[in-house]
Amino acid sequence: MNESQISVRYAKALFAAAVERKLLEAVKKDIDLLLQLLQSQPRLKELLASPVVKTSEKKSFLDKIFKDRFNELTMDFLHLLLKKNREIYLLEMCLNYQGLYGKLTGIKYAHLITAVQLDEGQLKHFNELIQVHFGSKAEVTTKFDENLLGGFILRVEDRQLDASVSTQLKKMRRELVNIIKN
Amino acid sequence: MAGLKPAEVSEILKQQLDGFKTVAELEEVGTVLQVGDGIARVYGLSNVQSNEMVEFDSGVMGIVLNLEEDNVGCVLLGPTEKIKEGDSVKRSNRIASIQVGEGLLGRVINTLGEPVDGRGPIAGKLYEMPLERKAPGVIYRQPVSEPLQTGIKAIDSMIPIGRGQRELIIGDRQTGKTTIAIDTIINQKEFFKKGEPVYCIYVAIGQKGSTVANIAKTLQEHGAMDYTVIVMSTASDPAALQFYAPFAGAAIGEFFRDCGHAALIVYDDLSKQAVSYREVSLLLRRPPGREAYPGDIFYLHSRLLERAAKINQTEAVAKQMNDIPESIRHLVKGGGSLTALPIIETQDGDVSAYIPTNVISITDGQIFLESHLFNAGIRPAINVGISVSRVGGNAQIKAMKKVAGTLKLSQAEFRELEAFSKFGSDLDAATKSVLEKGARNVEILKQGSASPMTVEEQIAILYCGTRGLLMDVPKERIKDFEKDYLQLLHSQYADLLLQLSRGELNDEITQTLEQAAKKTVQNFVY
Repeated sequence: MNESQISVRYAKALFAAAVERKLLEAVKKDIDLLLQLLQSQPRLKELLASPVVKTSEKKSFLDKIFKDRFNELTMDFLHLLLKKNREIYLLEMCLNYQGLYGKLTGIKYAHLITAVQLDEGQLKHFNELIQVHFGSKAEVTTKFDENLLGGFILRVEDRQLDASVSTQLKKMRRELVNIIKN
Repeated sequence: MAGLKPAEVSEILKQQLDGFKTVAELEEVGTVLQVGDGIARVYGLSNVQSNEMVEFDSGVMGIVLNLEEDNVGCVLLGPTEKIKEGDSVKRSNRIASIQVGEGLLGRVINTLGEPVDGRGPIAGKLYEMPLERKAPGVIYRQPVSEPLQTGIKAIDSMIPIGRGQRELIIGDRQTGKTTIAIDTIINQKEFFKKGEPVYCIYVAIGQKGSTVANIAKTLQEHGAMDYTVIVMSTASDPAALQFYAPFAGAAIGEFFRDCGHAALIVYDDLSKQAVSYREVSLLLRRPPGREAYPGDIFYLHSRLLERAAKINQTEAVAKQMNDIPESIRHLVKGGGSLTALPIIETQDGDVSAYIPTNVISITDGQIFLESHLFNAGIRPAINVGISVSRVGGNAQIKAMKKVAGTLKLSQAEFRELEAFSKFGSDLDAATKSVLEKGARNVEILKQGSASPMTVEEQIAILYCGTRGLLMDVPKERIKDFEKDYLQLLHSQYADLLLQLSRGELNDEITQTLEQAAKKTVQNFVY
């Protein structure tokens, strides 16, 4: 069975339901939070994937955290996943939902990693940069990472502009090593 | 390095740095969703092509094999441990390829074209050749017409191989499959010395490192490494490297073929390649078929073996050939060839298993090796009855065709009668003579490993066998006779051997051969 179809179909279903009930924005907010949690908390993913934890336990756990924060539709969706034993694919479903949302609204997801904290003006500048280079508006999430040493990495969906000092140093190192090898 | 001053080193480094691009480029990236068992699933990379190389954060390369609805399946060409979930993956915009050049000759390399023999980087100009490439179309080909001399009497006389042919070597373990391939490589030394080299590529797939080291040593000792490249992927390499190794070898072979040279490639062995391909396919969750091999296992082998070809002699036509890589377009010449000797290992002589039947049907003939012949001391242990060469007959030189034309049939007849004679009943004179002659021919066809014989010597000795000139020589002394007889020919009839090597065979020559044989036989009659 082609598993990648599972997540695509569930995401499509959720998206269609959200459009119908005019809850597109609310569900998107939930999905964003969910995705962020799944990516930053590996334990959460482990729990969902674990066959040892009973479905009822998973359900009460999800209810406990999300019931007050999430929309009814999102909660129903999570319950459906648990019922159908598809909770392992939650991460992929979230990504697919974001993709569908982006396609409809023309807003892209952008991740900006910088070596120094940015001020408002700089951020605005980046937004303009994205508009010029990628031809669409973007929702920018920023991250601060000292390891870059300088510069920035801007990622808009699956395209990336890497202008960080650390990458350039890495490249330089590789070329010099190649020279020595040859 | 000794004469290099620190100042010069800095100068070189400075020059390199001056050329260093600091402009950030827009790259296409994806994120690792899942990794393990040499496979990574990547989200994103929406424009990536099948068979494209991708680079992971840690520098490990991968090849894209599966394009699915919302993710991409890649095989990793390096250690899995260095890759984590969430790592970013970059497109390289490069189809999987290998750097090829004449500098590879004499070297042992891995699937990626990196030297593994510890003798430094590959010298000389290198050209990029794709691993997967469409085979030449019909109009760029030419029928097989030239012989590829293996130096093995049983093969050159009865199962002749032509340049551009694909001849399968099949048999159980320990029946001498690799030996035949290695002997064939060693025999090409003659042509290398003459200045018409047949470049050889030996691809070792999933073998022990020690076995490959032994083979390299054997080739070295016989001076065969000068025109040979060894591509190896040992049993400990990732499965992806193992199943791509034959494609890397084929890319090297195509380089020589398209540059107008003759080349020979040995795939040792394709059953192991099929197993590693099955592993990757199952990990990528492609549906399994018979014996759990994926549905495209036939295509895997057929597209590989189809790349063996004899290219049209006319240069203008050859230059038009389909899918020539840009890097070697200016070097293309006509008349080159790539001969393939794939090897398949059977289990307990079962040639009707899945992979053996597949490869038998793809190739232009097969050489069957049998363990009971091997154990009976008949080496090479070729079962003449079921070994065939479907195109090689056109490629035999005339003299050999005349002398050995009936050998195959008469040996088959001998085998049949031999089985009957085991019952021990009285035999008539005609049957007896067939048996005697057949047994002597079997002795003649025995040959030690790494002792190839030139075609003229083969014709001379086979002539004695097929004409029944050796009936008075005891079976166990046939080898001694052969030695003396060839010595006599070399010392007194060198011109005759030269004529034979050109394919001439007239009454005068046959008379001289007969005289020489009779003279030698005298010494062996009791």
